[in-house]
Formats: sequence, structure tokens, C-alpha cells
Amino acid sequence: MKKTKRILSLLLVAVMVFALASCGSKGSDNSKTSSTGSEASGAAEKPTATGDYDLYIFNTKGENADAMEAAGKAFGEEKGVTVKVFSLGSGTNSDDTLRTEMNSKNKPAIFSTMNSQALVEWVEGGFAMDHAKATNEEFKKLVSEIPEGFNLTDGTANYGVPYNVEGYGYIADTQMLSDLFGADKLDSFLAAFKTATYEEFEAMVHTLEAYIKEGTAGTVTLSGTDFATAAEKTGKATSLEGVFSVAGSEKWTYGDHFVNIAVDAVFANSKAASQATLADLEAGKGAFKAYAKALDLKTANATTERGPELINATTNGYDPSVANFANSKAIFLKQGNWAYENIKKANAEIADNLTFLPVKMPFTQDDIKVEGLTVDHMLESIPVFVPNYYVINDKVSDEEKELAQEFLVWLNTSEAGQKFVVEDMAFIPYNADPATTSAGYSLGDSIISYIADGKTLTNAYAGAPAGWSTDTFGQYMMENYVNKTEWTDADYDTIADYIISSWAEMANLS
Amino acid sequence: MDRYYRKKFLPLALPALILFFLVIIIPFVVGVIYSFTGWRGTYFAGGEHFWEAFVGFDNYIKAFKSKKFIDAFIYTLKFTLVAVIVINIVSLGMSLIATKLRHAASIYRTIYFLPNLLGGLALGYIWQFVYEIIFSKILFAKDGLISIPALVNMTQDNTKALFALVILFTWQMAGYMMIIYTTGLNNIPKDLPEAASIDGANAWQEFRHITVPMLMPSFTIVFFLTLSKCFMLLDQNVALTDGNFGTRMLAMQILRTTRDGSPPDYGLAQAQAVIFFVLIAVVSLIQVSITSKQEVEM
Repeated sequence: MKKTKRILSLLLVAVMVFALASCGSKGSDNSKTSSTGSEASGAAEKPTATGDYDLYIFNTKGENADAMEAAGKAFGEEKGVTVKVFSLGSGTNSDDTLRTEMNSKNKPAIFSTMNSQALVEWVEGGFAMDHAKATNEEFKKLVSEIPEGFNLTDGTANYGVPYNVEGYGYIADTQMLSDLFGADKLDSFLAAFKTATYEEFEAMVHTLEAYIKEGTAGTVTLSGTDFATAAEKTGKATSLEGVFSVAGSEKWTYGDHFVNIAVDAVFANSKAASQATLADLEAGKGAFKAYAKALDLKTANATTERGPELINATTNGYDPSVANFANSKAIFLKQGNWAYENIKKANAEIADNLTFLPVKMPFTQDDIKVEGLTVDHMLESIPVFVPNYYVINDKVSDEEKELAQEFLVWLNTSEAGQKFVVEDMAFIPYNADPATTSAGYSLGDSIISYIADGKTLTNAYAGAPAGWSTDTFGQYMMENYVNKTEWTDADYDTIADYIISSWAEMANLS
Repeated sequence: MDRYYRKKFLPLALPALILFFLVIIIPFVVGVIYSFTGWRGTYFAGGEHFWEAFVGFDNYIKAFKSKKFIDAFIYTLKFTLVAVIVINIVSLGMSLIATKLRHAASIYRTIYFLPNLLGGLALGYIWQFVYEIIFSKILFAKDGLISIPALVNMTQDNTKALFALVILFTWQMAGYMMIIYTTGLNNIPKDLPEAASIDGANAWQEFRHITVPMLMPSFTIVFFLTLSKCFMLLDQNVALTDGNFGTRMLAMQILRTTRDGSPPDYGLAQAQAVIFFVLIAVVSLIQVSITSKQEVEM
């Protein structure tokens, strides 16, 4: 009895471990139905045969789920075909879902990918269709007209059609600026800010910080013009707590878009960044130090004092940073136009008064390694980039591929398609003519004005090794610097060196 | 009744066996095979089929060479060691109190069992708030109720975060383990302690020589559950610290491996999962065989 009991208990334990451990590794055992995707069998089981749909679109942007659904339906009615649109909830990571769909028999004909780093997987797996293999003449014309910097490429071929363009910089509330410097000065202030040097910007931040904390009125000089703060805080200025609203606990605050300004000074675009050599990175040290100085200025003058408090996820995450800005506790918020809806939700009153101002870093002409790029251009410009691309799946039937091409042509060139893109998805089309396009909301229009002026930068950091910007570099900054009150000059060096060494290590450079 | 079960064993066990085979055994075997291949989630690097993409033990070698995996491994060991001890002391203490209570014992038990009903992610976020706001700002801050620097910003330091996780997990698990211990304590025949006290044993001797040996079956199951659950801690780890400050544990390391690079290395993640399985199986089996040897048969 005793023995059987013991054996039984051991068996039970083994079964339980088995069950628990297997649960732990879920997601790694996708069934193997995918390997039937060869040309012949793919055609044999073409979706029309199942009667479900003729074209399957996998949409990763949850925000425009309804608009995409409607666009698919409209296209389907026009062509007399059935279009299936699948969208995930907004903010959901779509990678795993997309991979599952790619393993199934009914693969999406149009899927999405964010940048050339994420593209590798789909090119290697044979999913992404090279545009050179396009069959539709109109589609060939469409993709040949995609501006150089907006292409999705692995270095040899092109694969993507842009969803839209987005931009980011310091978001400011013009009403706040009016309250600070006088409503009559607003337009000249905005113009002067854009062309101001970093030194002027830095002095302005210190003046404003003193004005906010001690109430001492001062004068800021931008592009040589003086702007005096109101003697007494009025209107929105009374609620100010700091110059910048910083999402301190979010690692992308330090990696991603902020460091991108410095990466832009070193690499012309993400393709150049993905082909970086160790020498290229080392040459960028000056620019990376400029990044560290600019981040120092920003985090030292935030609504929350720099230190453990600033990286507290409960009080300084993304949502609190948006709320602080929307409720006029800070003058600037470094974000992109995608934050518009959240700002509007937090405070609808300011939504129409928002504008982008460039993120400034103390570059010298020596720091800039991109040919033809000047310090002035860097100071005046905001990055405008493609956040997502439509990619056609090479593993679906030829009929569906053809239909997918037609759809993308229809969406990006026809009047009906553009209506969905501009009005319903609230997108700025990548092929928009800035003279005639209106985004219909403040931040979108602000981006268009930068495009019209030619004051745009690229999104070069997207070419950094996968996982570098947020999970490696951003995390390093958060754990080692943002939780410390004081930074020294030596820290700027260490940060710049870390950018170079961690990037080089992850890209296997030596 | 006993005969009925013996006679109908197969038809009664079959549904469970089929399910177990379909959702555990098959994926497990497939997973082990994939761990030897260049599986990328949607395709095999190096060939159309898995047998063309075999990489031998490359994934296993890569896993053991990866600093992230080793760090996660060590952190998991540290956490498990501390958490198993703390959970057992707390839950045994609570159950000793529960069995001594004359009134409202079931209410007491219910209250302490409740945290176990909450999901790990929800718990993680609740405790994040507790650590970041209540601990760091209200109770233990410099200008708080009493200043205890060790309890401030517990999620922002490798060692402090370990104890933050232990506190969270003890809070969650102790009630459940208490129920098991309470059942074990109630099964000790009353005449044993009575006889011991007549023989002049004091409370400690009674606990050491009667309660502990009689409780051995409970120890076996509680140790097994806490040990394996500590090893496999995931949700709480993700929600509370998200792996910041070197607090990534093994389960999270496996989960995040596919995000650490592009294209996603599912083969490597799967190899880590197999190592993980072997580790838990070996540790648990050793523990169970040791503790069950101590069990006293009545």
C-alpha cells in the first residue's frame, strides 16, 4: 500500500509538472498547417473555393478598425468581391496574432509591418512580396512613385506601401504660449522658436523654470528677438508645474523618438542606420553627447523632479504625462500626432490649439555626419515618417495577390479610397500634396505645414538593431540616469559611449 | 464504490486522457522538436520543413551562453529560495492559528484565501500601486509615517524588487497553502498530542515530534506547489517590474526572447522552455522523493 501510494504520488507530480511547464511554453507550438503554402497547393485551396472571402486584409492599427472595415466593404462593392478585414484592438501587439494567421490555411493577402527591422522576418519566410514581382500596371506605377525615404526596403528590394505619415516633436498649447508671452506675440514667438539656436532654447527653459517655480518674470531671446513673460502669471500659466511633461517610467521616452534626433544627425535614414559600421557609430559620438545634454535639460525641468519619483510607473507613465500636459501643468510634451486623441480625451478644450515645435539638441556642424544636413535644418525640423506599411503576401493565390494590388491602388489613388484614408482614418497620406491637403485636426495640420516648408527629418533609429532603442538603451537610461538627480559632464560621455557600444554589440559589429 | 471505479477506470479516465494527450503531450513533443530547429514562428530558417532546419544543440548552447538567460536563471533561483521559505513559514503559522481558533475560524480562513482568487496581472498592478504610492509616498517616505528607506521605491532596485515580489507572492499563495496545512493539522488524531502532554512534552517538543512528522504529506504537496509556482512566476513579474532593474525571471525571459531580436527566434525560446521544464521536473521530483520519504504511515 505504502509503495503504491508513493509511486502514485510521484506519477501525479510528474503529470502536474508536465501540465504546468507545458502551459508555460504556450504559443511556441503553432500547428504545422503552414508548410502547404507552396505555389501549387496554394492555388488549389484558393480562398474563393471556400466561399469565405476573395481578399483578406490584416489591419494592425486598431484605431482605424471601423474605417478599414468600411473601406474594404466599399472596395468589395465596387469590384463585386468579398473583402475580409481583420483588426486588433488599439494598442494591442499584433505580432503573435499575425504569426498565427500566417500559419493558418487562410493567410492574409495584405498584412502590415512597421519598419525594415520587422520586415526581415517576412522576407526570410518568403511572405513579403517584392514589388518587382507586381503584376498590376497601376500598382507598379503607385509604388514607383513612393518617395525615396518612405520606402520599405531590405536593402535590395522594396516591399511596402505606406499607411500614412506621422510626425513628432514638442507639442505645445498655443493658448498657454499666449498666456505666457501675450497673444499678440504668438505668431512671432512660434516663428522665432523654430529657428532659435539650442543655447537660446536652453536659456528659455531656465527662464521659464524660474518663472514657474519662483514667479520671477523674465525675458527670453529666440532668434534674436526678445519675448517678455507676463509680469504676473495669468490664465493657464497659473497651473504650471514644470516646463516639460515627461513620461518618465516609459522606456521609449529615452530611446525611440528622442534619441532618433541624434541618430538622424549621423544617419540619413533607417536604411543607412541598418548598415552602420562601428566607425560610423563612433563618428556619431558628438551627436550622441548632444542627445544626453538635451535629455538632461528636459528631465531636469520636468513637472516631477528627476530621481526615483520620475520613473514611478503609477505617477509618471504615459497617461499621467498626457494628463499633465492637457491640464496645463507643463508647457511642452514630446509626443507625436498619435497622442492627439488622448490629449483630447484628457482636455478637449486645448485640442484645437496644439502645434508641433522642433526638438532641439546642441549639435555643431562637426557632429552632423549626413551629407548636406545643416545644424539649422536640424533645429527647425521635425521627424516625419511612415509608421506602418501594407505588405502583400507572396504566399496567397495569384488572384488574391492581384486583388490586393488593386485594393492598394484604389485606397491610395481613387477619390473614394482617399476619402477613407483622410477623413475616416484621420491619416495624412504619404502621397499628400501639402498645398491642398488638410488633416482636419491641429497636430495633423501642423505636420503638413512642416512638410510644406520642407522642414522634415527621417526616422533613422528604426534601422537600429531590433530591441535596441527601447529595451536596451531606453532601459539603461531609466535604470542608471533618470533616477538620479545630478548628471555630470562625464555622464554625457558615458551615455554616448553606451549608445555606441550597445548598438555595436547588438548589431554584431566589431 | 471502489469496485465501480476500478471496473470503469478506462471509460472514466478516457476523456481526460485524450484531452491531456491533445493539448499537453502533442504540443510538448512538437515543442521539443522545434527547440532543435531554426523555428522563426512562421517558417523554418534554412528549409521548408523542420527536418531541413535542424540546428542540433545550437539553441541550447545559445541559451546557456546568453547573459540574459543566465541572469534570469540566477534571479529565479534566488526568488524561489526566499519565497518558498517565507510562504511556508507564513502559511504554517496561519494554519496553526486557524486550528486554535474557537470562533469564526472559517471566516478567518476565507479572508486569507481570498487573495488567491485574484489573477496574477491584476495583483501585480495592485501591488505596484501599493509599493509606489502607499509604501513610497505615504507610509515609509522620509516625510511619511515612519521613514524606512528599504521599503521605499521597492520596484527600482534589484534586491528590493526581489522582496517586493516575495511579499506579493506570499500574500497571494499563503492562504491557499494554509488550507492544505489546516487540513493536515485536522487529520492528526487528537489522542497523540494528548498522550504526549501526559508524558510531559512541552509545546515545542509536541510540534517537533508529533505535528511535523504527522504533517509530512502536507509538506510534500505544499513544497511541491510553492517550488514549482515560484519557478514559473510570470504574470506578477511582468506586471510589477516588467523585468526592469534586472528582475527578469525565467518564464518572462522565455516569453520575451521572441521580442529581443528580429526575426523572432522561437527555436531559442523553445529551447529555453525545454531547459525550464527539465529544471522544474528535476527539482520537484527530488523534493517530492525526499519529503515523501519522511512521511509517517499510520
